Amino acid sequence: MASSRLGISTALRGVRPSSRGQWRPLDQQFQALQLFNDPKSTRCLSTDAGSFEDFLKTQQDQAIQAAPGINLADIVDFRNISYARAVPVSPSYFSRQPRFNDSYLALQKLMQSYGKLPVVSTGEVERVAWKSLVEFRQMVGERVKASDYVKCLEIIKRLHRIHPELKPPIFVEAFQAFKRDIQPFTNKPNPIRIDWVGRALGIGRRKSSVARAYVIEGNGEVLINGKTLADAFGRVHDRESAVWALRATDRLDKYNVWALVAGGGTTGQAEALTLAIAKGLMAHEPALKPALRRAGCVTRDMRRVERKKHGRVKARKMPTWVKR
Amino acid sequence: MSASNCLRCCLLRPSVVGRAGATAATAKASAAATARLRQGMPLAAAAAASFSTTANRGANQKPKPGTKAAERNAPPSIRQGKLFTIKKKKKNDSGARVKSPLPGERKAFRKRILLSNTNALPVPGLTDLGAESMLDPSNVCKVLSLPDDVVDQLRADEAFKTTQCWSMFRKPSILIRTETVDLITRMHAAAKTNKTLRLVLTGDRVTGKSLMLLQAITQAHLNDWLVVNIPDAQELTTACTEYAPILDTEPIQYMQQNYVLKLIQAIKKSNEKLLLKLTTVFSHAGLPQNIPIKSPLMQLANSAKEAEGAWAVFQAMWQEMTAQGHGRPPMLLSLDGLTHIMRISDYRTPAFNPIHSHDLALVRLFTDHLSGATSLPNGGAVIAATNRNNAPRNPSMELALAQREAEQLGGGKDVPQPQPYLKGYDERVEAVLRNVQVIKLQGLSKLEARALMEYWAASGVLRITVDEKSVTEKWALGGSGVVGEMERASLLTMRF
Amino acid sequence: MTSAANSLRLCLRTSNQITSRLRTVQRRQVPLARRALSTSQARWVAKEKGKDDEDSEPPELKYYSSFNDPGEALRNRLKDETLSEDDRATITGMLEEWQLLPQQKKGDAERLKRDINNEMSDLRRIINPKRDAFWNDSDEKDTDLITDEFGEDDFEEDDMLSMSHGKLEEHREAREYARITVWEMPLLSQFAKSFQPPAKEDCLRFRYTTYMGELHPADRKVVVEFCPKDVPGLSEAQQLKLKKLAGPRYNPEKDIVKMSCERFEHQAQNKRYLGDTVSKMIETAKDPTDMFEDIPLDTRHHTFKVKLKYPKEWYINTKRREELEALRKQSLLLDEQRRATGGLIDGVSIIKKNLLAAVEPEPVMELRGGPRSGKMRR
Repeated sequence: MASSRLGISTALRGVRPSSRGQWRPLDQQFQALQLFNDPKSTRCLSTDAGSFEDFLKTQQDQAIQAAPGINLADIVDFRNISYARAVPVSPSYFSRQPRFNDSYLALQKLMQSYGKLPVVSTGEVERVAWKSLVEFRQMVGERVKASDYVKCLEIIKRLHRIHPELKPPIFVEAFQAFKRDIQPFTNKPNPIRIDWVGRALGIGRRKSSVARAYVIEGNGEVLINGKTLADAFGRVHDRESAVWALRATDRLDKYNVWALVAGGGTTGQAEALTLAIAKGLMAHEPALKPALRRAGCVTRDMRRVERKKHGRVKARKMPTWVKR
Repeated sequence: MSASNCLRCCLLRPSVVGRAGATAATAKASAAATARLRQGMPLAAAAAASFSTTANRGANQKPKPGTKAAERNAPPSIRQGKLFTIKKKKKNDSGARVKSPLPGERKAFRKRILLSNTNALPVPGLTDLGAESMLDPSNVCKVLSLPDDVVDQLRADEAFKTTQCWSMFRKPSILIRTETVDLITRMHAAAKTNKTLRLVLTGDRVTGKSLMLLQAITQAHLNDWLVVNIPDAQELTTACTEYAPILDTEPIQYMQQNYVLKLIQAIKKSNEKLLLKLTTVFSHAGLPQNIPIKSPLMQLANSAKEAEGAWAVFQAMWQEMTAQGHGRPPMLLSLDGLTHIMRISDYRTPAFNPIHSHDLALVRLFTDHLSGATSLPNGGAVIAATNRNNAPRNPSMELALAQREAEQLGGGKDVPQPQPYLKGYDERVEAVLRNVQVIKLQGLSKLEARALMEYWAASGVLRITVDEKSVTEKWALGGSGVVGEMERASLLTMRF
Repeated sequence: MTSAANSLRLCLRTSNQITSRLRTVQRRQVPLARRALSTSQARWVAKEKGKDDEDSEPPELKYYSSFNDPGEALRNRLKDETLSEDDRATITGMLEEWQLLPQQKKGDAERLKRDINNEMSDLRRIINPKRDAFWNDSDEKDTDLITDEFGEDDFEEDDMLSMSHGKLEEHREAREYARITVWEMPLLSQFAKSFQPPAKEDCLRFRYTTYMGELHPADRKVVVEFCPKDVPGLSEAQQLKLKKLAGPRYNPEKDIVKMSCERFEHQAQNKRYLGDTVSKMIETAKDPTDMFEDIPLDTRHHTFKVKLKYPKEWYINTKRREELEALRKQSLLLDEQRRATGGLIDGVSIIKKNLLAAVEPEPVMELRGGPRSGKMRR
């Protein structure tokens, strides 16, 4: 038995465990076993969790490489040892979710030691996207219970609220397994810069129109595709919505706008301009952002034409009911 | 209602009726009722027969249970749903027949010009225009009102347009722009030296070309000039008035007698004072009426009673009005819608060839004066305004005006050149516009816009505080101060 | 790209079929004179029975002997009476040299020849067509019809599925290209040439199209572009005439004449045609008899693109900043003055004031006398 295990583990050495598999990879299962030659010095089974460092270490070892093969020739007096048996590294080896249990116990221990530290309010906490249950299950390859995972996340979120200056560095590693691989909150748009002649280029879209607006300090002149506002838009409503960002903040007489807009119809173009001008204006005066948000100029309107479906006359309209 | 009320009174207390002295009808009704009462008829039936329109229900009138009438009159039970009945569309049976408008009434309504609105507030400190006020550069950026007699004259000239917002204000008033002062100064300079100012007003849509023309006409009236205004050149060339060839002309010209008659009447009305004062100096043959020398021009004008001979009268009048050396006042010849007379008209020759607009005699008169082929001997101005709405494309006119404009700016190289392969250039048009002055109207300046908006606000049609912010806003919404667009953006919206 | 790779693969694939086909061709080289029109089948002359079989070995060819022993071959040559004196001397010299050669070397040479002969024997063997084969196929081995078509294609659970075979084939293909990439592609660098920018007088720019060895109807097309200004030896007037001659092929925005030709079968022909046309045009442009001065340059075929320019006077610099500053100050001053003198007009308050003024009590019509009023009062 032991020799066959050794053979397999050496064969699998260097092969990274695939976290995607439904089952626990074979090498992982074998790695968890360790050969001890001194049974008196170790606990056979323990419910007490080891320290988190130990846990992390074992986790890393598991993840990176298989347990070293045993060269029987190295063991000096092999024949004198009365018996040798495999002892699991983790005390939760015989539970149903050993990896999750290990991490949960480790987190609990962290909570016991650091739970009293002062926290910041929820609004000030750095936003982090945590793994969903499905993602976590896929990563550890165990059937983690939802309620258990919720408890685990509760602890993590509580620990995450600890004041950033007091956070021990160990947290970074401890949370790593629970963080999503891609953090959407770190995605920050590039700030719009004001160029050497003092203009800020904002880009706005609506329906299928795209507008580029150069906002520059001035005295209220607006040129759209080289035309005045009245020439560019026949409807007064469209004109108003084009310069709505400036009107809503009472800045129409403080800035000039030179814009290029293409695609779509008049409404789309006008409202694309709203967004573009608002972005340009925010580059000049970032403090206006709340006011502009209240005026509805900050968010891009993602609505598009709904597609036509088969069996329908338009997107939603059903054909007229005809009796036979 | 009161009748039935009365009836109730008189039925209950017949003695009151006689004492109160009701009308004869009421008395009669009450008498009839009392008579029925005596005969023993049911009271309610009597009331229903004569007055009430409501369904009569009474204890003694109860229909027999089980009959249809009983079902109809019974209050609807809860289980019974609301019955849906389709009503037949009733014809208008009220008796009063709806009168369809008489011929021409609709057009009159469409063309109606309201110059005053009593609901608008009178603007305090609004002064009338004087003879010199449009010459004064200090009056720029001011709104001044038109004097009442001038308003009448302008109305006769048809200088007001339906598209202009006169009906929103208490009194017709105009804004003096820098271009106004420029134009009026040029007019005066020409009149002083007995020269003719030949000028075309051009510009984008709703930039105030017609209004500028109105200001010129106003100035002419205020300074006792003779004014001949063709309010809409479209009427001359779109083949909507009758035309006839003039004999002995080569190439053949056409007169439009009906239109000329209308024009004579307009001239008569707007220049009434002058025409009464001036007397004829020539004897004219071939008029419908013999006009002796030294009779007032009004008499000559009055001789055109019918379309027949109107052209001859107009020619005679023109000869008299432009007579040199008889103390005739300067003259303003103006026309709105220049684009329409710079093209081939919709009229046809007997051989069905198209007639060029310049072959129409009245148009020819105007274009000759505009081109400088003939001049006004007593000085004056020939002013035409282009139109952009409902205007046919006219490449040669556009090019000629652009060239004149570039030349006036002194650009030697930037003068636009004709495109060598473009069709549709017209040499006659180019000849007419070869050396005219051009004023291109653009947006208002902010100060002018402010003056205008203050006038609007003071009239109570603009519910905002007129300060720099609001002025800039409307100025920008109006496409850098295009006056008509500003009007649309601030006056003609439903939002306040 | 794929087509290019495909063609490369086709070229590189070792073809076994070609040699076999060659063999069959060789084998059929029996002269067979046929009449031009004949409905009867050609028949061979009947062979005598018991004479040599078709499958018997071909007779040993003479030229084989020269490889077997050079010494003997040389000696045989010497026996020839017709040899010239010089040749005879040379051959005698060669024979002596051969005899002087040590035995081991002689053996080496012989071994080499033997090997060559062994290698070549297959190719030299004359293969006679098998008449009884099913498709006249030389490759058919099973003359005894041992193979039985019945149950041939049954799947015996001992092979991969066809999809796996397909996958394997894909891998093989990929590896083949990987080999080519690693071993053969670097050799292409030997053909690299340094870029020579065109000289001043090379004013024509030709464009060709290739589909990487595939046939395509558009690969014969050639396009030439040139700028009339670059054509050497043309005056201004001649350049203008050249533009007019080019007609709609002239792009006035880029000042470039662009012509193409795909009229002829081959690329070279098309290029020749273009070259001829251009030279003819230049020649005509230089011809002073008619300079086309009365004809304006026609640009109707081209729509000029309007490029919108950002207004430079809006650029923020110290001057502009001062200007804006002054404007703002002026407008603020204006507002303030109005406010101080009460001249600032507020539309809302004006309307309100006038509405209040209008609400003054007006004389109301009174009802007097009459029976109705009397009753109402009651």
